[in-house]
Amino acid sequence: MTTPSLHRQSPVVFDATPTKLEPQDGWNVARSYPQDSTLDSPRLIDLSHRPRWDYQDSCLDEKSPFGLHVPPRPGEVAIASGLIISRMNRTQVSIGSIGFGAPPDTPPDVGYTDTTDSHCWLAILGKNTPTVMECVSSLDLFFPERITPFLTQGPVLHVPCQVVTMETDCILISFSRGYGQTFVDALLHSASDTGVQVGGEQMFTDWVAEKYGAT
Amino acid sequence: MTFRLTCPVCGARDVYEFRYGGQERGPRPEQAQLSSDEHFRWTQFRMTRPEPQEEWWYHTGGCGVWFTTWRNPATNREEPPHEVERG
Ligand SMILES: [Zn+2]
Repeated sequence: MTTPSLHRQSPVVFDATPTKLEPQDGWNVARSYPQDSTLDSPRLIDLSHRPRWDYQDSCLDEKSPFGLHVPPRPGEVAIASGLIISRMNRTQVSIGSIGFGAPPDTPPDVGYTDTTDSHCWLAILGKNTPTVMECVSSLDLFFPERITPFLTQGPVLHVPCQVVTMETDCILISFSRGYGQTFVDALLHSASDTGVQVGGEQMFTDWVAEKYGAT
Repeated sequence: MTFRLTCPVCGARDVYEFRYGGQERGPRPEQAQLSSDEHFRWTQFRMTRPEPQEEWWYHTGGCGVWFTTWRNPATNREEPPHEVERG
């Protein structure tokens, strides 16, 4: 009898064979897929292994979780030190790691909840990203008067989601882990006319590096 | 049938993103001198007038916030209360 090694498992499995698969903090991360060399069609990228937290405090405006400035109004998003911080409501922000370096440890303050294992986190990348999102949600994710990046909380494929519009060519979506596999299956099917296909994490980190530098 | 509601966090959204939480009916009355009839009216009695009423809604498909808004059930539009409120 063999003892299984401890590992974490993404809530989604893509029907494709990665060309580069690397272990990271107990996760197997698909860095690239064979078709990743050109961004000629939109890509669906799994970011579920990247650390996420919720932070909550009744006096949120006086706090600075991970040393970050808290955006003053719900829907506002800031990016600093490799972290993205999204204001959800009066008392809560969600924080995620989009940078390259090692993510910070969870501080001992009771306001933090590590939500990495409870969420599925995806990116849609590429110039037809708005068309992909139109196939799966009626939310207005590209309202021209809003300043990117910004957060929208609402249904995508009828699943309550946090959606961050980074730019016209990049959307981040997070939601409860249990919806993960059916969510990606439905998205790839619903938006198949756009040519959407799965992509490796490297495409996302390259996009972040180009946009924000080696954060 | 569809209409929009205004979430204080997310703004105007499709009503299908929300769950109805009933009419706002003020604080629970003190139990001490409460007659059974008054208790019944507070727990069970609801208005059905075709004029704006204050209601609780929960943004279940979005930010997860409970809030109240005034809606006219005759038109399904959010509408401020009429000037003379009934007691
Ligand atoms: Zn809301």
